[in-house]
Amino acid sequence: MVYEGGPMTEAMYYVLIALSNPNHGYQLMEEIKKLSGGRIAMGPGTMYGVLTRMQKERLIIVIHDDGRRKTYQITDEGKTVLLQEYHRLKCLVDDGSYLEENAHE
Amino acid sequence: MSKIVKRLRNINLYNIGMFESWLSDMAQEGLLLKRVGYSNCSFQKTEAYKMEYRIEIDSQSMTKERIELYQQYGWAYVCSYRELHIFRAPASEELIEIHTDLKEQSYTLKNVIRKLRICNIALLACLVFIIVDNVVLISIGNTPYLNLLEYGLQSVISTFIMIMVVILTIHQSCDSILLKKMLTKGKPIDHHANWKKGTKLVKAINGIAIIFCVFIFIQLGYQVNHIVGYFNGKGSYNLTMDTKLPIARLADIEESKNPILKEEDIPKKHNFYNEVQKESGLLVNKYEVRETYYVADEVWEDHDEAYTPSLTTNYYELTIPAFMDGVMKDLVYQEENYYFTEEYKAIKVNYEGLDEVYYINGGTGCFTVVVRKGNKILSLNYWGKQEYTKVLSALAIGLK
Repeated sequence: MVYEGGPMTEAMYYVLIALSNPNHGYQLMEEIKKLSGGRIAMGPGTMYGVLTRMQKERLIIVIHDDGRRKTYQITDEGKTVLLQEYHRLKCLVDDGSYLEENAHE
Repeated sequence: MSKIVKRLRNINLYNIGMFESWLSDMAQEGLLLKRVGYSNCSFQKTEAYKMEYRIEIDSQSMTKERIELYQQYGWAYVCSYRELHIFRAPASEELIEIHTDLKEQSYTLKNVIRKLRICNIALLACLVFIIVDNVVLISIGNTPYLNLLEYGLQSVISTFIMIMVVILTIHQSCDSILLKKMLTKGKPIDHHANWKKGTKLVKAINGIAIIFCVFIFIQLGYQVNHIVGYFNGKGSYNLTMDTKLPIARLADIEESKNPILKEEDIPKKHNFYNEVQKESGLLVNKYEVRETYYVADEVWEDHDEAYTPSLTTNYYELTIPAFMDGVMKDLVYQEENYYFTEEYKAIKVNYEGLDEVYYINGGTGCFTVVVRKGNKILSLNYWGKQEYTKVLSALAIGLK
């Protein structure tokens, strides 16, 4: 199963960012909460689903498994698609930046 | 040890919102889910709780890591049934939902929908095979009613049960597809949906399936009884001069003096020439009676051998009056076409004391009469010197 491209879900985007440093499920959710300034409290089902799917799409890998918990890390392929998504989102924000300028006027 | 209570599950498995809502309502009644079964759920009787239930759909089994992860957010794992994994947590405003991204949640259904689709195709193929098999079985010999009495009931009931299973599985499949579409569109699951609305179809299907199962068990009971009867001698036994049956006996037809019941050359437990076979079922009580005389001091008219008249009676006592005409027609057809080389034409005759009579002349010294009286239908094959009116006269008395 290979990642087919296209816009990422919010959950996927944040998990990939948070996995720049190897991490496991619970800590990862706490990390995302911190990263998003408390805006995102990701549910465990969503987290587990994203991790399983992205592992199949080879965007992340398991670097440690002690039988009770797995530690995940982003792959090079994961980094590439994350960067692509970042640029896509940046373009979207830039294209809509006039909204902010109008708001100041 | 606390009491375990079972409740029928009248909600479709994949109607997640209603199922979760039902489980929450049960907890408020003091019933905490313990196990999910095919048709019911087991609950532990406790005090009433305000509990939230969430059902995860995943074709993979729950891992320890996953259970612990959910636990850290307050969701305790309860049990799994097929692809459904059930969690619960005490209701609280601080409770974090298991799924916070609907699009991601919709992805979890992909494998299950594919699995259900394969299951539907396989079940439909089985259903088609069963229907074709039954149609062929019932059409054999162009006597559908007789075949239905003979082998059909069980097959027809099992076909209907199979149809019910297919409907239920398709219903589950539709629910899971609808759920996926709903989540993809960004509409969340209503965890407190009115589950009473969703119970009607499942209740109706379960009710019909239970009725059919009861019929199958009754029919199986008859079949077991038939097998037991074969061994204990009640289902199949040798005929004697004194055996009382509601049919015509050779003694009432023949005028021979000192007849004896013919024995087989090598005596066996069952005498083929003089035997009664009894078979009961939901649709029919049936006897097959074979009777053959041996008259030492009397010979056949066309050859010198000892006179051995015989009478084979097939007796059907029908439960369903609607089958009467069909069985009568089939028996007449069967007798008309008994020999592949020749076709004998049945003649309808009137005889006092009998409701409907057909006479089929099968050549010298041989004929068949098919007779109906009330809910009893009989076909009698006679070999001997007597006229058919004599057989009918003996039968009219026998049936009284």
